[in-house]
Amino acid sequence: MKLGQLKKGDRALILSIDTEREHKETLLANGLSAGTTVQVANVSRIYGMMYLRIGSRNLALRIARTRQIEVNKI
Amino acid sequence: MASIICVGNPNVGKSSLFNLLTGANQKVANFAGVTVQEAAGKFLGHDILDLPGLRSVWSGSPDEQVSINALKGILREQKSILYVANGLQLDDSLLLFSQLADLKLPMAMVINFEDEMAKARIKIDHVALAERLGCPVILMNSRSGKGLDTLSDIIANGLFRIPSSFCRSMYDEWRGDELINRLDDRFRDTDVNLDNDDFDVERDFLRRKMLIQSVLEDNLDQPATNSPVSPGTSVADEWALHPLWGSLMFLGVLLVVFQMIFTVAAYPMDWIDAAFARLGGAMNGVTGIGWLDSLITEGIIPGIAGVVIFIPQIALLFFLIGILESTGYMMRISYLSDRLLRKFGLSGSSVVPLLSGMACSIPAIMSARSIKNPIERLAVIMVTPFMTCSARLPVYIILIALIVPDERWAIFHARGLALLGMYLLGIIASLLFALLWKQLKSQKSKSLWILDLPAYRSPHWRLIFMSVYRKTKTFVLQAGKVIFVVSILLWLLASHSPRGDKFFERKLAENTTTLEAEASLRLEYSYAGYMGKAIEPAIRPLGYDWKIGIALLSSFAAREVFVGSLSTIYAIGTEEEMTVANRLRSEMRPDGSARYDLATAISLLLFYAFALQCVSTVATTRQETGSWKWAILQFVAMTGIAYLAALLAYQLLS
Repeated sequence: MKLGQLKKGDRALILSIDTEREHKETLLANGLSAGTTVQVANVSRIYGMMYLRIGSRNLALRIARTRQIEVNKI
Repeated sequence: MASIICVGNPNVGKSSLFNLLTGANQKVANFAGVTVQEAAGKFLGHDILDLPGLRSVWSGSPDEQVSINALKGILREQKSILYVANGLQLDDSLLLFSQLADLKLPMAMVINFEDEMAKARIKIDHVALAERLGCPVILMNSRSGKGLDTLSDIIANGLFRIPSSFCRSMYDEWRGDELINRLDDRFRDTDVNLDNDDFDVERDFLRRKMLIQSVLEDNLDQPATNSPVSPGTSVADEWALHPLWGSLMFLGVLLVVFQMIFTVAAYPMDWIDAAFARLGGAMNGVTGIGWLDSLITEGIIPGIAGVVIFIPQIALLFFLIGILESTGYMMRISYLSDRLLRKFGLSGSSVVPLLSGMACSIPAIMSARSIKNPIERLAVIMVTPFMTCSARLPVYIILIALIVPDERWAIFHARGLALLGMYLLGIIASLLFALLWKQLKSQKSKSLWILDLPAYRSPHWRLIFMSVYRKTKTFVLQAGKVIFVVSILLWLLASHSPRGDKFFERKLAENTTTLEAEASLRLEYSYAGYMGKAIEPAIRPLGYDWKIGIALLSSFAAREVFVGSLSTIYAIGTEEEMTVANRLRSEMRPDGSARYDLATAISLLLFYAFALQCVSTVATTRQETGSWKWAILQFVAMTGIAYLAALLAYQLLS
């Protein structure tokens, strides 16, 4: 399933990231790589944002981008 | 003495540590991208360089490129690296550390936020970690200075060490110049590295991550990973980022800020205004030399009063913005506004430069370096001067006071609401011109925006007060110098005339005159009067007379000069002790109606809302875009829009 399909409170393991090459580095540098566990702290359809907890960091991604990340719900 | 370079991820407290070491006053706030250019200082005789935050050596925004270029430089110069890590996010911080370790330069690592680590029950065996990494590791709190003695010892005795091969990953066999070549390739063409058979970014990151995990498993003791490090942040964000309450909270914050600027600052402002009026009276005739008394009481004192009187409001604005920045709330505004801003060709990453523009456009335009998308960055640079900067505040306050009654509507101060309206006008103008820009420079944005939401922190009061003091002092000194010179110049031009005494004797003999009428006549036929009259045909349709024309001309390079200039112009030839506001209020047209009526005041407010009367902003746009083309376009467009808006307003309202 895609990261964008997760709901608030869900935890998942990132399986792969399918994005432009230049963006992959940015995602990796921010801790989003295959094998990383993420927790969805909030999903806001109105603001188009997904609030993620990755390790000790809080990150927000546009929901459109989260559809490029394949995850396995834990 | 050796040079030391401060490197680390964004928002880990590098600038805070740099300030602690060097006694500098670099801007510090609780979000990523605060530092966008190098800063240099000295500690124990060593040169210390503070760099913008960097997520990885493969990062690519303009501010990160400053750091990459500096890193390339230190490879050649063999400087030491003081690596600053976030103790709450060590897994994250060690990624860049492992990349820098590949440079094989002497390093030491500061693990910052020792106090917050204790609160979050994170324990680290920093001695064992130092042994594992092969370089000194210091636990620190850069706010309180805890750990500074140990760091001082390391710097003083040159105890920096090249990290052990353990934390260097796949590049052990590389030499420094090979790494430089790879970094150069990264910025020439991203594909070069990624297509290279022997290098894959993802594989590299994963390898480093495994390495980091093994290091932390042995040395770090922290609560389960599924519990948030800062539970308070999670609870606060439930409200701050809520679809309804989040937006209302943001509007409430803006409302409180502008209400406070009028209500709280009104008292000291009145005291200062009255004090300057009394000072003017007391200084009258004090030297016994006519022209000197006139220069002091009609030139210098009213001119300086025109800027000093606004210190409380400007300081309060800086203070309130400082609180928003230091708590971490600014990033929540980015979260709330990203979707809306995208409709205008901007994004959540434009929020910090735009909101910083409420203080001053110059650092705001520079902070756009943190925006990766070049088209969005240029758009932000072009529209940021529409945001209401602190130099507009004196003009707004004096004009609003002339047309809005000093009363409350329910719990709201009427003038505070009017001021909020002017700030919202600045925001709307920025967005509309960003939209226009989007149409002109149409390109589908491919930028990836990741928003780092820092844990909320209580405001660091000492740093906020220091920042308020520094910014207010800069404003007053810079504006004060210009106003001082302009006041003297204006007094000279307004007190002297190309006409001789006989001309005035004849003119005065023709009319029955009062002292005020005589003063007005002398001003009208002064050099300044002639200048004002020369541009009067162009500004009369906006509702301005030649006296306002003089103030407009004098404030073209710096808008804050306007009030001081008006104050000086209306003080020429008068003996009465009057406050700045009363001088404007008592100014009449020839038909006996108020000079500053609603139509004229609104026209002036709109002119100052849109006109780019700031030479420093023009220079900064030139510097940041690398072209005069954009700077001139910005100046001409904003001045043209200001003229048209003022013209329309006056013609409709008069």
